[in-house]
Amino acid sequence: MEDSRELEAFLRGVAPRAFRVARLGLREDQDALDAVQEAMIKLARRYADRPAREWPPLFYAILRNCVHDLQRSHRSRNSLVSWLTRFVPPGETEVAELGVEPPQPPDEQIESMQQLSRVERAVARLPARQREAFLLRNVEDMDVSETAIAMGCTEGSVKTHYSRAVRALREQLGDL
Amino acid sequence: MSADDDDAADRTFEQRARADLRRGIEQTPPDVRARLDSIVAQALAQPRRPSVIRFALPAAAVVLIAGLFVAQQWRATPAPDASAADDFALLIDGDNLDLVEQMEFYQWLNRQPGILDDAAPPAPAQRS
Repeated sequence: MEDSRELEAFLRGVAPRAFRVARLGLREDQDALDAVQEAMIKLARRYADRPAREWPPLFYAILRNCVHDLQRSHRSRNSLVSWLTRFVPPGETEVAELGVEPPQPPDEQIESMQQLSRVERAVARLPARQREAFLLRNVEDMDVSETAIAMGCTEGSVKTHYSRAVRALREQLGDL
Repeated sequence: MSADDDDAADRTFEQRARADLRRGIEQTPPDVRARLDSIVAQALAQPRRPSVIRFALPAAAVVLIAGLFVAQQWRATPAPDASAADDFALLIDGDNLDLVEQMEFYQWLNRQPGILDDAAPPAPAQRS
């Protein structure tokens, strides 16, 4: 019973952050929700009896695989759609374009939102491994060893990906 | 810019980017939050799969103990020595078995003078 409450607290806490991480990789809300759902169900089924401190890296390792699976299926679908549209006259179909940003809401916080949007776009443009390292360290506050478990690589690789990510983001965004 | 300045600029940049990203998380739309809540409830309702390691470890221990027991028994069985193996080979050979069974006859035959000599074919005559 205690374990269930602990797991519930973990899942509720991690959900919005996991959604944001998945959203930056997949660029669609629905896809990000699907990835989070699959990762949470797998964690609850397979690893609920593990110590709670192991859940964050395990969860993000699962989420990472779910995001990769969805990216792969999108690539296959997009290549099929683009191949099919070659046989359809222009104007008869619309291809859904991934990565279209929602319009900015006109409010007094527009500058702040633009800044957030710039950061998120720059993070989304990073190579996958650099993005994962940057988000796990900064959004999830994981240390290097936890990040290495979540990414399935060595701690040295995490440090390399992370420093490259920071350099690339600074080049794109300046000093914010 | 020195390496220390660059590191400090990196840290400042990281803090600002982290603050921006967290602000984005706080601004998660209510409909998405509601979906996330239902996803959490769905995950918590999942039946838990028993851990493989819980069964694998005792099974591996049993196999290891059984293996050690078999190996010990195999080593404890004395290997037959070479002379016993030779005797056994003699016994199972058909010709040698006949020789052993009729040993007394051949011993008697050997004691009779001239019998074996007479049985031998005559030597060819010498030419003068």
